[in-house]
Amino acid sequence: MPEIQPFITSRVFNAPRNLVYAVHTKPEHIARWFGPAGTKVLKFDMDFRVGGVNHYGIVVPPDVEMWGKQVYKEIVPLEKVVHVQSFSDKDGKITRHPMSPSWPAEMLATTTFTDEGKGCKVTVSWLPYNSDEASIATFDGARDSMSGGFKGMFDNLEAYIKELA
Amino acid sequence: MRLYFTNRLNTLEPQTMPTDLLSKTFAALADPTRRAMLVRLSRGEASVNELAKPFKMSLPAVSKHLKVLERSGLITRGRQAQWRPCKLEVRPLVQAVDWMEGHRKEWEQRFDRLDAYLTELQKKEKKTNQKQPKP
Repeated sequence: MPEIQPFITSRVFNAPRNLVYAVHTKPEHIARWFGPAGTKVLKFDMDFRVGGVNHYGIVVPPDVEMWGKQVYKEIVPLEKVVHVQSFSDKDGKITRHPMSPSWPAEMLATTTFTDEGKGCKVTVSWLPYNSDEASIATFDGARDSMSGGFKGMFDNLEAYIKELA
Repeated sequence: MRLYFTNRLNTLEPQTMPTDLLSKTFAALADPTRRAMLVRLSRGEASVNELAKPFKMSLPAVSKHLKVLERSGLITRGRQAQWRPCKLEVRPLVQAVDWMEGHRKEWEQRFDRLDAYLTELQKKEKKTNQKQPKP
């Protein structure tokens, strides 16, 4: 098992920050890279503002129709976008993951943009999301603790999990 | 845990869905004391007293943590009346790792595509600039 840094992944792109931010926040760009290669876009209704919704439908190869919803929670231009990601049906009603129905229905994703040399570093973190206040507080408060403290635990448990899984 | 009807579960409406187990698992894992307890349990079953030992904590406080772990499915308690050993349940952990790693893979692949797209965009931009007549 590779080294686990749960909930967070990042990449440095060889492009200026304003361009990297633009391809994350403008519908004509996002539709080009967000879905798997060969994705056909059925609908991409992106209302990019706090409280705005992107209800989208795509067809991924070989021929699987998928609908999803993004709700924008926080936008700091050129720096940060926080959105809630969920699967949905055609009408925008939230559903579970079609292949993993036991997964949390909604996920909170935070994307940050920082300069890195001449390029731009994008960091994405994600957590299960429940729309009740208590859960939000729990996960907001827990994010740092989780990211830092998880690794040790998973290192310790790795062998054990493998044994029993 | 909340009770629910199967037919309700099938309609998959978030308002009527019980809080999913995975979210409970993450909430339980968010606390360092509880993570330490799980690490201890990965070496074998233990009593409440044994689990309490490394922490400067009252037994009721320890019991509270164990209840959270138990409700999230991460541990089970034995049925013996006096010595109810705690046992690590690995299934929720495997699901948690699957969830995290599934999303990691998805993002890694997305980043690959983004990288290619940015390269393409910048090439186009360069060409457009070169086509412009020099002053």
